[in-house]
Amino acid sequence: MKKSTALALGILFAAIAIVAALFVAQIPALIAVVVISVPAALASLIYWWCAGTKDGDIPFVGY
Amino acid sequence: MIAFLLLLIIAVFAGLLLHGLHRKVIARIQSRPGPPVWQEILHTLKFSFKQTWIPRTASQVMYVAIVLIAVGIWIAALWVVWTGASLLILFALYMLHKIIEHGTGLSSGSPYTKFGAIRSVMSAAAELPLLATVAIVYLFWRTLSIGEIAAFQIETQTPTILIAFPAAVSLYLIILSKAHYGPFSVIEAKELVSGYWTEHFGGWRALLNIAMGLKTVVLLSAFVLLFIGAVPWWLMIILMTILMISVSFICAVTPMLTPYQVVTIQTIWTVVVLLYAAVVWIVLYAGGILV
Repeated sequence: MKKSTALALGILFAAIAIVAALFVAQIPALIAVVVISVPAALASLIYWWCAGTKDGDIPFVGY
Repeated sequence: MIAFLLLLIIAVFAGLLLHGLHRKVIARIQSRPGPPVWQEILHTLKFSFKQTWIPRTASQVMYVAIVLIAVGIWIAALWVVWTGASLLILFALYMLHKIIEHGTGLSSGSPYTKFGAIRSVMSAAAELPLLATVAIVYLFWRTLSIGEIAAFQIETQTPTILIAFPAAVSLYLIILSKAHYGPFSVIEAKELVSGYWTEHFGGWRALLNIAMGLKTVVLLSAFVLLFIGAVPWWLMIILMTILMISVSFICAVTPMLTPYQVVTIQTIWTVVVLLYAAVVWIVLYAGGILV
């Protein structure tokens, strides 16, 4: 995954999570969206932060 | 509108603060200075920005997905407690945590985490007192809605803890079984580097910390709602803090139990609770209170 893609996904999931959390009291089913989008947003941001180059990817280390 | 969002953020920080308090109390009882109470918050922030990768021996999808599932189930559990939904949903989510422990350990390909994951099977023993708690709460209140149970206690001026004390001890045992550095911590296997956590580092560890913080807040608040009632928010915080400190005392003064002891203690207490429930049911039935 490219660094820019990871950032875009992180922002997208965060926006979805915030909007869903704002309306979850009125539409309880939106909790499913919150449950999925919050961890996805956090993971995407982790990928973005750790991606070493513009071409991205999480390096794999063998041992 | 922003209530749940704010609650989620506050619960994460509150959970990490409770963990820090837990470590501080244990340290002070053991005549050590201990870390500052905000140490777990600092850890989580630090881990969030540390270099993160995926081990080559890991099952890549499982390795990442299990962390996301951990955060997801405890967000869902927080929602269940906040809305006063069914106790069964809350405990179903609790039972999924065992899968988190298992999956986290087995996904990395490391022998240390594998041992931690295998030991997590003992978490199943905690489900016995869990089910006993559910049964006895239903026996008294004829509902499994957390909101209704909390409200009934206030309306009838009868906290469940007074009429079903063994069930309160059951849920307390469940909280104790999930506490870090406690008598039931053989499941965490921290003597094996960091047990099932070992190979989840950096950002993954930060997410696991967040999930564990939410778990602590959910379990403590569930205890207060189920056994004391729908108290004001400030009293809820005080009671949760008192509960956490009491758990810390027990963790500080007890040794780590063996797997056999872990399973035996929880099984025996389940039998005690069920016997208590049977006696109470007979008395209520014979007295015409139950029909």
